[in-house]
Amino acid sequence: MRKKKLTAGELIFQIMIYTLFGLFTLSCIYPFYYLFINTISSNDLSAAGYIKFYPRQIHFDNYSKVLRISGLGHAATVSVYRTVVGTLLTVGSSAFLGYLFTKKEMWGRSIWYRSVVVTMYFSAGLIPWYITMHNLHLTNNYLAYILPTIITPFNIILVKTFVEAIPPSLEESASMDGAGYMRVFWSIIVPLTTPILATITIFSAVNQWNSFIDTAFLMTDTKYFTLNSCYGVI
Amino acid sequence: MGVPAGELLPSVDPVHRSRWKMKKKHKLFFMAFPFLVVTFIFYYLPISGWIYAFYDFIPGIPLSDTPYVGLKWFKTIVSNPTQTAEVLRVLKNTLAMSSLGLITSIFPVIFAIMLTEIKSGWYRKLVQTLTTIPNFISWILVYALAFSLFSVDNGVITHILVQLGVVDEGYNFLASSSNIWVTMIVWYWWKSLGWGAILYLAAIAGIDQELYEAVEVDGASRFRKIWHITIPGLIPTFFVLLLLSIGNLVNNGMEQYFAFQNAMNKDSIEVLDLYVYNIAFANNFPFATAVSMLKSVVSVILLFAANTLSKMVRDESII
Repeated sequence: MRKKKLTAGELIFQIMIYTLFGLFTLSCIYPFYYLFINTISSNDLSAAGYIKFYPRQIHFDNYSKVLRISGLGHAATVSVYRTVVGTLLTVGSSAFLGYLFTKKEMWGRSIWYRSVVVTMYFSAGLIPWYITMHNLHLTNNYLAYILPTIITPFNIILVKTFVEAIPPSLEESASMDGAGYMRVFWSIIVPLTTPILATITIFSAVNQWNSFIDTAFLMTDTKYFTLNSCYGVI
Repeated sequence: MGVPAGELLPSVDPVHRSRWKMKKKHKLFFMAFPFLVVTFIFYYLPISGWIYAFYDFIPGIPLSDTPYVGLKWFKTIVSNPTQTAEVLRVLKNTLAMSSLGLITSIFPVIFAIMLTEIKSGWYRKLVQTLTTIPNFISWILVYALAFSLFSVDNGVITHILVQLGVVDEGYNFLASSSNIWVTMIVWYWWKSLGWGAILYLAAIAGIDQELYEAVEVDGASRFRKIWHITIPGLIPTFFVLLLLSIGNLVNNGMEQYFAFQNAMNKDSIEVLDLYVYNIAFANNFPFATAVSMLKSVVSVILLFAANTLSKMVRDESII
C-alpha cells in the first residue's frame, strides 16, 4: 500500500520534470527551427508571417543568394582564422603559464599570478584601450584578433587548479630522470590536462567565433570584417 | 685528491645546490616573462590612458595642446544634477541586473539537480545537449531571433499572444521598457542555463555513489538525498562562482545590452559598460574614461572584499 502511494508521487514528479525540461528544450530549439523554415519557405508567405510550424513552398534561393554575396567568403576566412589561430594561442599559452604558476620556486610567483588574475576585474576602459591598440598599430590589423587572447586569466586559473590536483610524484620522478620544465610540460602536464584543455578550447573557440565588439571598434576596413560584422553590412 | 668522495660531498653540495636553485627560480621567471609582457601591454599599458580623464581631451588634438582640468569630470558626476541623475539611473540598472543575476545564479544548480533525477538516459542526454546550443550563438544572433519572434508586425509569439488576447495589437515587447530587467535576465538564462549547468553536472558526477547507497539503506527520501548529499557536494563550486561574480557586480559586460538596446528601452537597459560606450560615442571621451576608472576601482575593491570574506568564511582564498 505504502509502496504504491510512493510510486504515484514518483510518477507525478517524473512527469513534471519531463514536461518542464521538454518545454525548456523546445524553447531552446524552436527559434532556430523557426528561422530555418522561414529561410526555405516562399519569401512572400514568410514576410506575411504565415510560416510558423512547418515550411511551405520550399525553395533554396535564399541560400544560393547568400553564397553569391561578394566578400562573404573572405569574411568566413577571417572568422575561421581568428577562431583557429586565436584558440591555439590561448590554449597553448594558458596551459604553459598555468603550469608555470604552479611552481612555487618561481621568482615572485604570487605577485605575477595575482597581477594576471586581477585583470579580470578591471579594465582601463574603452577609450584608453582603443588608443593603446591604435598606438600599437593593431587597428585594421589581423593580429588584433589573436594577440590579446594570449592571456585569458580565467583559463589560466582553470589550468593551474587542474595541474595542482595532479600528484606531484609524477613530476618529481620525471625531473629526477633529468627532464627539464619544458620536457615535463610536454610529456606529463599536457597529456594529463587534456580534459581541461578541451574545455578551454571550446570556451575560447566559441568566444572567438562570436565576438564582434572588437571588430566594431578596431576595424574600419571591411577587409578585416568577420562573419558577425557582416550582418550589418548585408 | 686523496679525500674520499663521501667526505667531500657534504661540504660542496649545499653551495652547488643553492646555486642550482637560484638558477631554477630565475629560469621559471624567464619562461613566464614573455607572457607577463603581453599581460602588461594589453591590460596594464592602457591604464596610462586614465590620464585623459584629467584633460579636456578631444580626439585628434594632441594631449599637450589640451587644457588640464584636474578633477572636473569627476566633480560633474556629483555637482551637475542632470549628470548625477543619469549616473544614478545607470547605477540602478547595473545593480538591478547584477543582483538579479546573483539571485538567479541558483538556477543552473536546480537545473543540474533536476536533470540528474530524470531516469531515462537518452532523454537526459538530449535535454543536456540541446539546451547548450543557445550558448554557442552570439548576442547579435540572439537579438535576431528575439526580433523574429517578438517583433510587432510579424513576430510569431506576439501574433499568438494577440490572438489569445493576452496583449493588445501592436504591443512591442522589444521596445517596452517596463519589464526590461526581467526580460534581459530571461534571455540571459535562455542562452546560458544549459551551459552553466554543465559545471554542476560534473560536480554531481563526482559525488561518491556509496553515499547515496548508504542513505538509501536508511530509507532516505529523494528530497533528503538531495538536501543532505547533492547540495553539500555542490556548495564549493557554487560558492567560488558566487564570490567571483561579486567582484563583477559593476561589470555586466555590454554585448547583450548593446544588442538589445533601442531608443525606447534605453533608460532602463543602460548598464555602466553600455553607458561608457554610449557617452564615448557621443564624443565625451574624458567623461567616459572617468566613469570607467571609477568602475574599475570599485570592482577591484569588491574583489578583495569578496576574497577576504572567503578567507573568513571558508578559509580559502580565491586569488
